[in-house]
Formats: sequence, structure tokens, C-alpha cells
Amino acid sequence: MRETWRDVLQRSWFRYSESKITVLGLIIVVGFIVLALIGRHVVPYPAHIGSFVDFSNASQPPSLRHLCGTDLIGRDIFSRIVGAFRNTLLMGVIVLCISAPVGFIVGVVAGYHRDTLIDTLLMRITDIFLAIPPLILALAVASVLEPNMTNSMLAITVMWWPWYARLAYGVASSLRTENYIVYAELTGAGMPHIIFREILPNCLSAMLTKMTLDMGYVIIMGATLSYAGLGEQAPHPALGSMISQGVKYMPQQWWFTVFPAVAIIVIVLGFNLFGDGISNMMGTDAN
Amino acid sequence: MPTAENKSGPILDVRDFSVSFNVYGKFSHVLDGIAFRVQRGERVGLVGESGCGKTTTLKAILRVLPGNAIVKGGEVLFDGQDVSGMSDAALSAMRRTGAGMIFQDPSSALNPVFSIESQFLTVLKYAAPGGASGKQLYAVATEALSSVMLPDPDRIMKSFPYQLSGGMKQRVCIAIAIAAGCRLLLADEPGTSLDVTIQDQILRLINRLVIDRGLSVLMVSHSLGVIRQSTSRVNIMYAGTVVESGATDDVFSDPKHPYTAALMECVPKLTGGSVARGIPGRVPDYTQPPKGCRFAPRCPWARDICNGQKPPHLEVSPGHHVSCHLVSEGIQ
Amino acid sequence: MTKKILEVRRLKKYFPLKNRLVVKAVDDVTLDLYEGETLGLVGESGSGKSTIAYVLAGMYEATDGDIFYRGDNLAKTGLYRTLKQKGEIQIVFQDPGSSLNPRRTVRKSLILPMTIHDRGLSREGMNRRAEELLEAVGLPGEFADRYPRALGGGERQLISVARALATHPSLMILDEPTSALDVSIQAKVISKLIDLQKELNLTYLFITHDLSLMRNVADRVAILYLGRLCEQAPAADFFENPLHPYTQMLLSSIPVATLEEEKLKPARISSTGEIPSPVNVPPGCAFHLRCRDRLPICGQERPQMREIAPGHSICCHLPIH
Repeated sequence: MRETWRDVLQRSWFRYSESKITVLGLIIVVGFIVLALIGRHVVPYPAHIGSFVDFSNASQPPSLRHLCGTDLIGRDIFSRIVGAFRNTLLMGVIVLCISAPVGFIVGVVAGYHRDTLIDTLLMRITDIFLAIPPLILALAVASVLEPNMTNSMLAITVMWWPWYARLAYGVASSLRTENYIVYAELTGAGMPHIIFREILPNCLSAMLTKMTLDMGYVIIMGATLSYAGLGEQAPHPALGSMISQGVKYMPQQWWFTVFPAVAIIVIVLGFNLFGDGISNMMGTDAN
Repeated sequence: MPTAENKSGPILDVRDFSVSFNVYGKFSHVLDGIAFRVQRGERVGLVGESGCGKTTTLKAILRVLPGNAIVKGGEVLFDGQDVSGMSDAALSAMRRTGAGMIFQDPSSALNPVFSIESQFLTVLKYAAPGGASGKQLYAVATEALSSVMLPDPDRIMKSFPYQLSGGMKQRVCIAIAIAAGCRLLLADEPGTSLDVTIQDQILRLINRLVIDRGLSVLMVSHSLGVIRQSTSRVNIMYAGTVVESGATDDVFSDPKHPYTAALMECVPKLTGGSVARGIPGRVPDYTQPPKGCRFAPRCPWARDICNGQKPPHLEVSPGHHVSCHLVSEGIQ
Repeated sequence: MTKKILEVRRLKKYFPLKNRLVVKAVDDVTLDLYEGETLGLVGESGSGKSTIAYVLAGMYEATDGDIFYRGDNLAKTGLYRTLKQKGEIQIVFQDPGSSLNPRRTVRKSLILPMTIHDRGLSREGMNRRAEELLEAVGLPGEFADRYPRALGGGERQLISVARALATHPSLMILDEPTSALDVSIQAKVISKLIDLQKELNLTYLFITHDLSLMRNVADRVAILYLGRLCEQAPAADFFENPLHPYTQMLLSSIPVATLEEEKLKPARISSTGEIPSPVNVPPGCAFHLRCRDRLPICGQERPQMREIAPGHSICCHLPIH
């Protein structure tokens, strides 16, 4: 009856691949991550990712030499899109890796102390954050601070943790009456043990599913901030700012805008499909 | 509508029925050629421990097996008609008026947001399409409620499920089944989730309805006590096979199959005595069931033949059947 | 007579609801537990048997009354009792599905009580002890690295027992440990519990709704109805001569599997009515509305426990025939 890793992998893959379209999501996500990691070295024009000028080649439409055309100062748009992937991925990963643990701690502590003052205090603060429209909050934070990548991550993190707090709160308040938690209390286990050893492992699959689903939204949010000029600054490429700078030249130089936009759509779609697959994989698992 | 009813034959006839499930690409062979009958007006028991295929059998009778189930062979005849070959109309007629299910947990069998009256009348409307007026149906419903010993049927009709106790809800479910004109009650662990004093009342009620109304009952339970008190024939199931069947008193007073005997031993007795050690091992993995007798790996008397060959079905005394190599070779 | 390990005196546990209603889950219960014995605490749903278990295990504080464990009064301590007391009184829960953390291996579940109560033990020592505990309950050591979902219900219950043994307890509260199991598995768990009791001189408070099981396991039996004790007696005496009308009804309702048992049941007292809600306990004797022999006094005055024979007491106004 003992399960080997192979069995677990086989079952997980069976569940993940039950819906074929989620396999497409997996392919997109893997491709995106690979490009984000090594893209700078494999693009046709690595130098174009930074401050490079070649007016003789400016505003060229898509061709075999420049798959997505070139921009106003002659840089290859394809290379710049791939070059922007790293920061896009970094944005998603860092935001989620901060907001998920913070939200978890707040939610678990509140859920474990359900119906006490601690619960009321923590969850009402969470509710206040949830009540403010997320984009406005992020715009406000990002514009008060100096516009750069770090601050835009900070802004998104501030509005993202309450969702994880809600999630962890739900799990913790339902688990706290489970017998293994009650047993741990009765035997004298302290709160750190109960939170990290007993509740956390049970939260993990729900949190991971939510994180993969959220990845797409964080990327959109980051692109929106950079569209508004509050993200990564020139000459470094960012998908949002590439779109906003290109909009002025629509529809003649359509390739300025369309290709970065398509890139965002594909990435977000990929993460959403991947998230669905992960939730299929985790969801049917009774434990 | 069902065709001319075969009044003489059994109301339920399960013949050599096998079902497998496709579980993530592996096949789980759960039911392996089970066979039993319920005659008209008879109370038949199906006993077995969890995981022996009782629920699968019930689902197969009502043809509500999940999508990954594959019927490997055999048939289920309800009133002489093959359930798997029934048209949609015949199937829903059977589910509406032929066979009624009594669930273990009565609280999940009734919808909490509708009153008993609306749920009851909806069932009756579908059970007798086009026929009676609302008033007549109401009268049928209250009559059924009083026949299951519920005092003040009018008040019950106005109530919502949460206002009734578990025992009352179980009675309401039985009343709905008999008012719809059910001829066969499929009782899945009735009253097991209720207290023993309430369970006793429910079982006595079912016994009385069988006699008064000529109902047939298939009582599915893990409790040998419940089965002994409320059935006349019994089928003992183990790991998707019927290992022993016969008149309840015969089987319980003189169990022939090693599994039946071991199970009897394990039941704590009111007469006291020592506690049995249980049956070693566990129910086999259905993806790789034993080739021969499915009980052989746990059977203390198993011999080579038991592991290699399926046991024959033998009649040891009139109506008392056993599937066991030991019995066929006269070793006991 | 052996030593008393636990004395419960006029224990009350009330749960306030909205609208100033109160659930009197445990109402004036007095019990004694002697070292090395098994007391079967039997009742139907709403009888307060699990509440008593939780109060004794320390999950709730008592509303009123006293609980003396080896002379210490535990009634008001709840979760704040000393570590020593927490180790010596252990509990095994009913539901094998939720008593072990599904995301932790058996080894980790077994080691938890050691990390709290046996701080001196090394990592290796804990591992060794975990395997010893598995062996003590008759399970192979390789189970240590499995997750609960790969185990059957009976095996999980045995692991809960092993985990409870890790703190060297003297009193074990068994809250319906086998009621979710099949009889063949139940027999395995029960026989193991009996072996362990002899081996380690454990005292069991066995909480159940299953009277036939108590016939085989308990030294003494106490019957609860709506939070009150109605009969308490040595097991043999109890099953031969049940005296309280509720107890008789309970016994005659049990579905039994053999003819010999049928003969033993009291002359059939058809069960009637249902247990009233514990929010709305009838005045006087809680059972009088379902009792066919009730007297006028039964609806007015609450009966007190009285001893009929040595160790056999009932809480009933009716004269004893």
C-alpha cells in the first residue's frame, strides 16, 4: 500500500492532465520561466535590452530580421519583450512570496483564536485593506514613493496579503476543532507548534493553488503600474511601459503596442490555466 | 410505463453481476459475480463490512453508478426487467414508483429549504403523473405519515426538516417512499446514525409495513444484529462476492463460511465472554484481487486450492448456499 | 478495594446559548474511578457523555463541582493544568479520520507528545521509542513513515492509542474509540486495549453508546441520560439485573446477533418517544415522559441516587421489585 514518488507523480499528472488545456498552460508557464531566466542570452539582439540607439533602423515593421519590428530608436522589440520577462517574473514571485507568508501568519493566528479580541482586531484590519479598491491603493502607495520596481512591488504586496489572511483564517478556524489539534493542545503543545507543524501543512496546498492562480493577476497589476509610469524606469524594458509609450503611435506603428500586449495576455492566460490545473490536481485529493 | 408485470417472479433478481471501476487508469474489480434475489413480500439482508461493495450494489440496482464504473457482466432484473436495458422512461418509472431508497442519514435525504409538504407533494406528483388533485395527494401524504406512527401529520407537513428530530425525518422518508407506491424498499443502514432506542423503533416500523403492505425490503447493513432482527433471508458479502446466503436463522445459528463464522465471533455479545481477536489482514486491494477465493489470504484454513481457484457455489441445506472450497471438500 | 484514581463530585457543565437558554450538558454527575479498572460510561446522543470526557481531559472547565485526580482538584483548570497532569490523563478520540494530522507522518504524530513530556530524549531515542510504541500496539515499525491516509481506520485508532501511551499515562479516556470501525477491526482494537491495560496497569474511562461492547470490556457500567446519571453498577450485576426503566428500554432495544442474547434481554419494553433536547429537560426525573411506570412524583421532584445493592445504585423514584 505504500506510495512511491512515482505513484504520487503519476496520480498528480493524471489529475493535472485530465483537462488538456491546462497542459497548454503548463507549456506556456515553463516557456516563460525559461525565457525569463536565460532569455537575455538567447535573444537575437541582447544589447537592445538596455540603452541602445540605432536611428537607421527606427520604426521598422515586423520582418524576418526583427520578428516584432523595432521601436522609435531602432531597438528590436522581440528582444526587449523577452528582456522584460525577468522583471515580470521577479515581480510575481517576490510579491507572492512576501504576501503569502504574512497573510498566513495573520490569518492563522486570528483563526486559531476565533471569537476572541485577537481575531476581531486582526481580521478587521484585514477587512479595511480589502475594502479599499486594490488598484487605487497600489497607485497611491506607488506614487507617494519614488517610482521604481521595488516600490511598485511593495505597493502590490500591501494590497495582496489580506487575501491570504482570509484563506488561512478559513482553514485555521475550521481545523482548530479537529481532533489532532485538540490532542496537541491537551498534551501541552504550544502555539508555534500548532501553527507551523499542524496547521501549515494543511494550508499548503490551498495556498500554492492560490499562488499560481494569483501569479497572472500580479503580473497584470505590475503591468498596470508600469503603464502608469510607476514601475521599472527607462531604459530597462517593462511590458506595461512599452504599451503606454506605443499607444501614441497607434495604429500606424501597431507593433509597438500589440506585441507586448499579446505577451501579457499569453503569460496571464498561461498562469491561469496552470493554476486551474494545479487546483484540479490538489482539489480532488481528499487530504 | 412498465410492461405487463411479472407477478410471480422475484421483484429483484441480481444475476452474476460484476462491476469494475477505472481509478486513474487502474482497474478496480469491486463486484465479482454477485447473485441474490428478493422475492415479493420478503425481507432480505445484505451484510458486509465497509468496502465490501454494498453501496456499489445498491447503486447498480438504481442504475446510478458513477461514470467510471464499468459493468463487466451479469444483470440486475427489477420486476423481470433488465435495469441496464431499460429505456429512460422505464428507468425513471422504476425509480419513482418501484424502488424507494431509505438512507442512513435522514437529514441529508431531505432538502432543508423546503417544507415537508412541498417535498412530499412533489414526489407524489411525479409518482402519479396527471392523476390526482392537490387535495387528494395531500390526503395520501397525511395517511402515509400516520401509517409511519407520526402523530399530528398536518403539523409535520407544515414543518421544515430542521424542526424534526432524526427519527422523525427517517419516518418521513419512509412515508414518502410508501406513499409513492414503492414495492421494494432499499434500506441503506437505516437508523444507524440514530440512537439505538430510535433505531429499534424504525426497524420495527419497517417490519410492520412489510407485513401490512406486502412490501419487499433489501436491508443493507454492517450490523449482524440489525439483520437478524429484520430479515428472513440474508446474504453475507465479502470483498465484492456473496460468500454465504440462506435463511437468516440458519446462517446465524450455523455459519458455514469461515468469514461468516469469524464475523459472528467478532460481534460483542450481551452474554459476555471474552473478546475476539478480530480477523487478521484487511480487505484485498481490488486492483489485484486474489485469483481464487477472495477471503483466502485472511482465512486461517486456506489451502492451495483456495488461492488458485474460485470456490464453487454449494447448497449445504435447502436454501443455504456457501461459496467455499473447504465446505465442498467436506472439511469443516 | 483498590485505590481511587479519579473522583468526580457533582460535576456540572453548562453551555450558555443565546436568548438566555442554557444547555445543561452535564448535570450533577458523581463518579469514582478505581485504579486499573474499566468504567463504561454509556449514553445516547445528547446524554453528555462526550462532554464529561472533554471536561476530564481538560478541554473545558467545569461549571461547578470537583474532579479529584490523585488528590488534586482539576475542575477549574481546563487547559491550564500542569504538564504532569496532561501527560497522565490522555484521551483517544472517536473519529479515526481526524485524530491524526493527515499531512504528517505517523512518526511525527508519535513524537509530538515526547517533545513536550520527554525533553531529555535525543532525536534517535524518540525514533526508537516511536517504533517501540508501534510494536506495543501490535503494528509493524514500518508504519512510522506512512501517512494516515495509507492506513485503515483500525490502524489509525491503534496509532492514536500508541500516541497516548507516549506520555506514560495512568488514566486513558476512550471516547467511542471503535464506534466508527467494522466489528472485525473493532475486535482487534479492543483486544489490544485490554492487553495494554493489564500490561501497563491503565485505568480506562470507556465512553460509548454500545452496551453489548461494555458487557465484554467494562468492570463497572454507568448509564447517562440527558446529562444525568441514572444507573451505576458492576457490569455482571448490571446486565443480569438492570433496574432503571431507561436502562431496561435501552437493553431491550439492542439488535443482537444470536438467540442466546435475545433470551437475556429484559422482557421487551417497547421503546417509545425520543430524547428531549438538552435545552429543554423535563422537570423532575428527566426520563419520566418516556417511562411507562411513572408516578405523579416523577414529574415534580428530581430523584436522587440511591444504593440498591453493593455498588449498584439507581436514580429513580419507583419502588424496586
